[in-house]
Amino acid sequence: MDLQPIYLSLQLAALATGLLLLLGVPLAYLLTQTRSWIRPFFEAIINLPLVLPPTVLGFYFLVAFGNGTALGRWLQEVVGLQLLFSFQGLVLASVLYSLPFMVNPVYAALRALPDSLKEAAYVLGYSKWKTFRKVLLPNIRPALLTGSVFAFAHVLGEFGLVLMIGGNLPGETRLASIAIYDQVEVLNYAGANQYAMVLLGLSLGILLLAFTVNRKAPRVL
Amino acid sequence: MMQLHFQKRLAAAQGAMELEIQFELQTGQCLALFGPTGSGKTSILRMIAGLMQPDGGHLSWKGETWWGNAPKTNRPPQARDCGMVFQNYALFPHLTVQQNIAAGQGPTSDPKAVDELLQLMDLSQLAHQKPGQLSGGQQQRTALARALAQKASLLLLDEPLAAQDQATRQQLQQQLRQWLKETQTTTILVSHDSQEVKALADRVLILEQGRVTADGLPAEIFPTASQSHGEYQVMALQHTHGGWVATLKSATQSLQWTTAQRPNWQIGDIIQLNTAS
Amino acid sequence: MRIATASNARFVAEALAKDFEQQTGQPCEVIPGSSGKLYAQIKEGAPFQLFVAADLDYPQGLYDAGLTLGPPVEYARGQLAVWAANDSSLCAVDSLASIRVQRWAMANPEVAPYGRATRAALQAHPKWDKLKTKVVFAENIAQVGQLVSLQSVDVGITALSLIQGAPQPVRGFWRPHPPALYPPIRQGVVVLRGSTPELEKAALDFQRFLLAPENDSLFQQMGYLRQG
Repeated sequence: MDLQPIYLSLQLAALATGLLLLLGVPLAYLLTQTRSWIRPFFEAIINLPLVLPPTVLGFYFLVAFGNGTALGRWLQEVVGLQLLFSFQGLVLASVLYSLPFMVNPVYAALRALPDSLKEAAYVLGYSKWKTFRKVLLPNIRPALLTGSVFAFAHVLGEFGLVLMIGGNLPGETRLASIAIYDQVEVLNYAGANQYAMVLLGLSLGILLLAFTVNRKAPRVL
Repeated sequence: MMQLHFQKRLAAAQGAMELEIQFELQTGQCLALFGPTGSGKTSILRMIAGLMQPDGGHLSWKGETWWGNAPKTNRPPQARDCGMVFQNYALFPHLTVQQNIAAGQGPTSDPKAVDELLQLMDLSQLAHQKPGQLSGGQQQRTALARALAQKASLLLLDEPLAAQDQATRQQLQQQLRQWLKETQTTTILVSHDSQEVKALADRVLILEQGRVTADGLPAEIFPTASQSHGEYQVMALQHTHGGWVATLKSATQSLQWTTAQRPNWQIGDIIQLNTAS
Repeated sequence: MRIATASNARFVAEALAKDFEQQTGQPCEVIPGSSGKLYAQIKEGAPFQLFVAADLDYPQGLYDAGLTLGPPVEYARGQLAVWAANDSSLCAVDSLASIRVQRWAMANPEVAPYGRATRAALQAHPKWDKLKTKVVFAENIAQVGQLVSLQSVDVGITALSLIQGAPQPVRGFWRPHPPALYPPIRQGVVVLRGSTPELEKAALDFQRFLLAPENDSLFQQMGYLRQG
């Protein structure tokens, strides 16, 4: 079995999860600070990937970032960013695609924290930023872990989107899920099975680890 | 000196209530706000701390405006020199008792001061426990220690000793009183325990339905049994989470009478208080 | 050099790429996919140098869009095969009407060139109206193969190349459908523009190699017809 697609999938999942922590967590916090009438719009947009078929998302990526649009040409010629058929494109797509998996648990955890926690910090002279770092974040650790694990596992399992915009390039965009599809396409079920077992084992292991760690985590209040 | 005038429409269980309160408070004094649940005491503390906005009025502390309408002024809580003990303690669950107290100190940490507070609040044994492992009384003492560690010129205490047992409470009242006087800390105390008000406060405001109905020395407002001997008319009778509070009025004074069970009086009744009760 | 290849032609393309690599030292990668998807990706700038398609229409579209170094060239004709999972007596079109066939599969004629040919071959059949009630449309010929080999259907009509080219033995029984009974499945190849001159030259070399008579027998062995 060629291990490169598995290695590539793990690399993509790790990078996307890291970026999601950097982007998704502040986004979840901003969402708690948003006025209540406008919040549903943001929630709906962030959660779109949950209901949209990945191929639809992939199709829009293909159209938006291709040579056919001003945006695509500008990205390629001015910024020098090749988003289609490239690893960096998959990273960006994975971040957008897995955004709800990070934002939702973190947002729910932040909302579940009592307001008095934040208020006590303010009265103690903590700025909003310091309150976020020193008081809110440490108390939503289980949600950070849950979000990271689900985002990671979701990226590992990503298929339709990658099929559309990846281009199946070995060492660049041929991920484990695509390798499975390839093997099934040529009726090589034994080969597909090998990749699938590795992917299944990895995903199961990661989820198991997360649930075990969270079981031990102290409940907040 | 504090100059305070707040107007605020509050949503209460019995419907909306108009809070209107105005007072001046001398630096170094301890003022108690006394009254039944839902009379607006906690809201006043939150507006002083900057956690809630009044609809109108004015607030200044030591000559600096903290909240005002003309010109529009609203100091954020971080910029108001005040400490607060929350009714639900609001301890930081991820920090130990010691770290929680140290969190009150601001950027310059002083481990010795933390140790003193641990001792003062009888928490030395629990310094490395997290709030989740403590009893309600221990959590409350941690919250008090954290607020004291802040060394703010104004201290807001919302039922700060309600979770303590009788013996601990009396001891803590003494220590707290001494601490407040030594540090010349101006304090606003919310309580529904007249004994506590008498032990801690220099002055008490009785609050009912968002209005001040009495303002005076604790000894005048809550006379001891021997002083309160005589004939009274029942002016009001209210249920609180601590029991029943009756407002009684005689020819010479008015007082609050707290009992655990519903007294068998009606408003308007003339009753006789004697030293035995 | 990256060779985008329709699913049915991937085995022959892989075999040829290996030979070509040995002869010229030019590293080759075969990128398999459905012709329609590869077409869309090439239009959006996918980094491929050659497109080995399942029909002539998709390469023609790229040529018309000015994305190729010349018009499409037919490199082979595909053949349909009737493939039965269990029963050797079922591998003929006439047997599809048999009560022993509860379900049969073909590729979706709207998107798959082999599906179009299958429909053309069967529409003339006297019992087409009856056959239609038992059909399952698969997304592509590879999925037809999956349905048959997993015995989800009794019979499937797919590309002969998929069965004969498979690197591992395939279960069941199959027979080519007589090519005279359906319009030819003409498969085209184009060299794509937009890479380096060296790669474009290598791609042109590979295209010539693909068409060379010396490879006729390989194509025939893998289930294609070559116009000799």
